[in-house]
Amino acid sequence: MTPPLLEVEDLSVRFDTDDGFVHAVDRLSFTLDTGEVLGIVGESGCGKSVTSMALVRLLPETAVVGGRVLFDGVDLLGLSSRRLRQVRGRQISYVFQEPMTSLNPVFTVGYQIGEVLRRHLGLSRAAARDRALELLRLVRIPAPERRLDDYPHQLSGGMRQRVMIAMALACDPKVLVADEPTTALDVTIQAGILDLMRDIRERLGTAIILITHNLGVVADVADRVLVMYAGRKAEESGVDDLFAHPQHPYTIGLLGAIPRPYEGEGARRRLQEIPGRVPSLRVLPTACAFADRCSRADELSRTQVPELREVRPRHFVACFHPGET
Amino acid sequence: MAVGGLLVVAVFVVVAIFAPWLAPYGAGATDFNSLLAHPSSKHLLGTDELGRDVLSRVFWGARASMQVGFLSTMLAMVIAVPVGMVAGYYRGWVDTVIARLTDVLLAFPFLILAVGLAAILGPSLLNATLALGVGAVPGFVRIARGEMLALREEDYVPAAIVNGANDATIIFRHILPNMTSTLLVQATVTIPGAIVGEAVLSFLGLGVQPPTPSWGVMLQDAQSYLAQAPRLAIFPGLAIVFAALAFNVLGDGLRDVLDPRTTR
Amino acid sequence: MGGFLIRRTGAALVVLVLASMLVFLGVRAIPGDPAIALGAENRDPAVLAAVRHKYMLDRPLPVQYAHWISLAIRGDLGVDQRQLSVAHTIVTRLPITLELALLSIFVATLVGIPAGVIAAVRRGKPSDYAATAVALVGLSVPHFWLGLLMIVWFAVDLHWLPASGYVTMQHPLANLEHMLMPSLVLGAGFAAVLMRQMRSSMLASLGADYVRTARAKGLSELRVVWRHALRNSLITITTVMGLQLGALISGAVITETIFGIAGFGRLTIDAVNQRDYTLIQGVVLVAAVGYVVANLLVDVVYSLLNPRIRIG
Repeated sequence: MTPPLLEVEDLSVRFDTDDGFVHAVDRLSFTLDTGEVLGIVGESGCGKSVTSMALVRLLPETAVVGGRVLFDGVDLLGLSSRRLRQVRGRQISYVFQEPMTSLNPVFTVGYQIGEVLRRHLGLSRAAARDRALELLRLVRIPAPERRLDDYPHQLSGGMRQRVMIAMALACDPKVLVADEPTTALDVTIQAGILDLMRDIRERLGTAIILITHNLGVVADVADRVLVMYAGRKAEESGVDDLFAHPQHPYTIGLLGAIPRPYEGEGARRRLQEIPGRVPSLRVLPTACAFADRCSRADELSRTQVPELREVRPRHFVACFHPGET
Repeated sequence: MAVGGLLVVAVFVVVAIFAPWLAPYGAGATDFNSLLAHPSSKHLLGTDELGRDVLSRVFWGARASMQVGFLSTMLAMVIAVPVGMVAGYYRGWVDTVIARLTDVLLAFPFLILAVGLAAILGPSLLNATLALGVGAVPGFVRIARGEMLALREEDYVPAAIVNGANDATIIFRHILPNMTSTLLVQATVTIPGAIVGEAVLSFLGLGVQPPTPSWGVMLQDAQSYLAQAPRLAIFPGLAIVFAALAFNVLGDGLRDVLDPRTTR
Repeated sequence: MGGFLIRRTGAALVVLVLASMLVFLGVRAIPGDPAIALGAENRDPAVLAAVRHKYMLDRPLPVQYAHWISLAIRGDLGVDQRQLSVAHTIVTRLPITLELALLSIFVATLVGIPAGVIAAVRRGKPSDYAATAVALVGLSVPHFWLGLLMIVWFAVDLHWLPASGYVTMQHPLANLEHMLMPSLVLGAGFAAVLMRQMRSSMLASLGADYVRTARAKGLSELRVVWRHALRNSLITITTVMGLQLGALISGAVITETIFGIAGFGRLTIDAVNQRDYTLIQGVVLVAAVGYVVANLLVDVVYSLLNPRIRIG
């Protein structure tokens, strides 16, 4: 068994704001193997984006990060800034949610892709331009020679996101972290981007961490899924098992909330809402964070924090009352 | 910090209003026995070339300077805020016309405008107030228009329309109260500019005319005696600096309190 | 870009026309007989008749305006009280003020922009507070007072620099000596404004998504700030520069008065004090036209710098 590419141990992120602390992530652990696609799912504010940015210390200075992030055996959280910058963009790269604002409006596409090639691989201007062209072809942008000298505002949303992906793949990284890559795009364009991601994994063998609030996206692309709630891991399993046998009431609720107009039996199922709201993250939990919204909640849930347990093969849940009904 | 600014501003306002009672001497009281005297127990800041007590003149000067500062800003607001709101509310050609007219006003650098007004009306405190007021109009128009563009999207606007309110009511009774904090901040930033502006105009002979004291007039008088008695320039100047600084600090503080979204 | 520039030029033309009308009406608004005002207070009936003829004062206003404008465009701004050509006087004095303005802009940019960048990068730390405080003071201090103090200190007490006067560029060193204090004084206020604008613009840039992307790419902090954030901020700043030119002209008026420099600014004040209406009219018109044209040039520069406007 080869050791995992990325090992996150007890990651905690706390923000020191003017109004007190906000515990965005609480003792989160997970692993990522080479070539694996891990989906991290949860609603807004559950800590998934914060987790992804914490890996290479991209969070603002108000964030206090604890735990360990082992990449190829080295703890990224303890690395010097200089060495960390050698990892960013080269071994671990990012694709963000809003391609319009994530690309610098005053530089051409070719320049921005070339920048990362020149920085990490020491390529000359001409060589960088050639490679950038190759990359644009890789992400299936039509007429790439013309696109190289275009500015971001001249491209459509879908194309900009492909440029972001090209930029992220430039140095052939081992891990690609995609934070809500399709959320800002039209539904028809989303499919294209997801296809691209599958393609990348197959052709280049890049491991992908895909962060989204959309379970449908995850079903399409991921190998394993991690469901987060209020900064903690609620459930983790292989993607097929998660959809076939969801264990955590929150996951079940999420699945019930997917609009499925045409069920096999013909009857239209009502969209099921999860009542209540996400709890405040200002204090560390002393009970199950989902208890207030859970139909299975009891004395135990309200007084103790549930720990992760393996309830099915390679399927973990943090719940006192897991199960499918 | 804003509180500190508020306190200092209050002090200046009080001095301006109560100058006749606070000042040890009258504004024009001369004492030919002690010309250009150094500070002493009799004259805390010394006397000027006509034997007038500098401290008293600073107090009296506060009146003219603060008066011009407040009145010109108020004049600007009275004209500019309705104009800006109308531009933002109706958009279209009304907005374009108002934009061009404001541009015309902006085409004249402030002092050039003051010079022009002085040519027509003759230099005086009134001229200074008018020039400064007119000069501050474009700024307020822009703020009022900007706020209007944002506020007209608020839910209470269609609610008011559905209830039969006419345009004037919507603009003045519903939307205007919501922009008062932004306008207030802008005012606290405009007033120090006006105070300094008055000093400039009076210094150049375009505003308050001697012997009426104002800080600018005092600076002009001091110019001829710069070598012998620089303090004649220093004290009124310091008064201007502190008054303007107080307003600026107050304005910054207010802005932080009322509008936390702006980058500090 | 073409569309943008055409619109801006069109707007500028409209403004110029309206402004010239304002100037025209302004002179007519002076109490008394305009002929006396325009004729430099000469009450000789023959002269008055000549003035009335020249400016078509007995014709309806629009005709007068058209005539006056046509003269102005051809460079004929009339004669002042001393029978000197107004246009000529302005042309000789303008370069002096331009030199002052350019030097002041140079000083302000040299100080203001780096200060703003540093304050933004070191936000919340002592250097930020210090720079912001200095800028705040800079905004509150009437810069002509600063000028007076500098004269007292450097010229009177220390005898390092001359207190007043101007020397032409034929003697570059002496010219610089005379221009040093005035440009520092004029530049100081501008520097304070520039610093504040730069700081807030940089804070916005540094918080933008593309800066996060740049960091995620593994670029050095220096490169992120210098290449990515600063480039965007400088482009935003150009629009501010245009507006500040007006303040610069106003500032030049006072600065020249204090330092006894016979430039365009000083001319403005002298004209008012002498009640020389033809001169005032010419000066105000030239100032307004100059300002509008300068702003238009700033618009051109901005459209060249900003790719979103340069390329649809």
